[in-house]
Amino acid sequence: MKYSLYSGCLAQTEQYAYELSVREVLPKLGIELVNLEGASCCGFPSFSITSPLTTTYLTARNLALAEKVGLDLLTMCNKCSFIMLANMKKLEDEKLKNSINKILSIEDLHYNGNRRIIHLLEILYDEIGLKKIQELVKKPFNGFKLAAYPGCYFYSSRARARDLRKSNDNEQPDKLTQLIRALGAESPEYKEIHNCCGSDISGVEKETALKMTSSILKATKDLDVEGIVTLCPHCFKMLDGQQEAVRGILGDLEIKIPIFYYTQLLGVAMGVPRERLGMNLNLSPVNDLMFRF
Amino acid sequence: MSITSPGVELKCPYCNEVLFSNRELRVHVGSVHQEKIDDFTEKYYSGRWIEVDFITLMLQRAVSDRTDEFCQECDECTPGCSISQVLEDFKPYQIISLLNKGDVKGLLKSDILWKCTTCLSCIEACPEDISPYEVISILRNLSARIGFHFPRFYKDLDRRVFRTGMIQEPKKVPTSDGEMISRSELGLPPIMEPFDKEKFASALNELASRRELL
Repeated sequence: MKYSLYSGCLAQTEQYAYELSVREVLPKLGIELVNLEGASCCGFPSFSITSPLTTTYLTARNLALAEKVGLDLLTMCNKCSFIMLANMKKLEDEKLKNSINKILSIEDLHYNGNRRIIHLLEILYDEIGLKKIQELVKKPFNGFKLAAYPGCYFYSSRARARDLRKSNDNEQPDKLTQLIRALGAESPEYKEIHNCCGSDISGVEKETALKMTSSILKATKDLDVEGIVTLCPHCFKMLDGQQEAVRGILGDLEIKIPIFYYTQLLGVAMGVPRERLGMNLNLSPVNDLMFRF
Repeated sequence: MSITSPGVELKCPYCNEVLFSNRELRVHVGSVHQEKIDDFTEKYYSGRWIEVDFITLMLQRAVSDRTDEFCQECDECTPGCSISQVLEDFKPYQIISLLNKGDVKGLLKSDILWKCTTCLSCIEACPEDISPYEVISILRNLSARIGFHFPRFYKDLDRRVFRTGMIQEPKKVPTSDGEMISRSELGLPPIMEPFDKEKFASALNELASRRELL
């Protein structure tokens, strides 16, 4: 299996642990990654507000690059994934597609719409599968309790992108939970898994955003969970990077919970050295759990 | 046809003149309120005319064309809304209620639109298939483009995407040892970005000038 890797802005400019662990682990699962050279921002979070048309253009542009290399586009970010799926839907309008293509020709690009957008979580669950992941685990996380936090956009983002309506029956909201269980860990079901991390408004309404992050951290703490696992750089940035702010601004002094990218834990379970998975870049206290492992 | 529920009038966000259709609103704002917003909006989003045209179309699609129903204020969108859980006065349906009352101006001037994290849970919850998310997105767009209220945070990101293709430059990040480390020091390849940034920016400018697309 071969995909063009679209890492997105946040992973490429600051969430390096994510990209490191993806680049380390995916080839070991038989996935060949080709960098989507020439790619740009997906349009989130600013153009998606100010100019839906520009956002549609950016989707067409990034997919046109994937078409040029003849590969489906792998996203690592819930926002990129959602934005691009929703705009791909808009581009089914022939008139809009033709007009966008006229402008794409400035950059010598052309959009046909014949490549898929696929999120890393879907690659892991649907393309590789739990069985193969279980086989590749050398050292399981037996006895550990880890909460899944796939991020609100992942709940039926594909179905929602289709027409921004109800999710369809095929959606399995517990894909990440099952993937964590495949590593040997216990992963509880909990209500707050549906809560939003607040990332979207963190640049505008910081305190509100922190309260939202805090509600997820608290809920998992009450479950005696030893760590939270995500696959979205926005969620990770809030849960991992804002714990100090949650303690300081909100006075939640007891909030200290390790946050991991799933690809980091998968790598560890497969026997990859921690430093190659960017584990020294997690700002939350991950070392205790790692020493016990 | 009304933008919102049947029989509800609309008011111009600038002068409160009562208008009765999308087209009237578009013509009114485009012709009566000609003043420039700012250079950025003029240059990159091609001013106000386009936007109202575009936005009214979207509003129509989101609220009236897509459904025969309109908001019954049943409040089912609130329990699942993550913002409502931390801000007591935030209820997604109230934005639709204000819109249905024709108070576009009040909505655009208030902070309420910018508190939504666009997590989509309200769409899932609504028994009438109304989408507070879409209405909020459209009103945000309207607010930003006509220069009413638009957090600077977003505008700065747009500027950077125009210039570089990305929302920010690669940063140095802290390690657990307290050092600051760069992307390349971690062994990651150079970031993927537009090959020719001038062409990229000129394509985006060209896009802003194509009114027929709207």
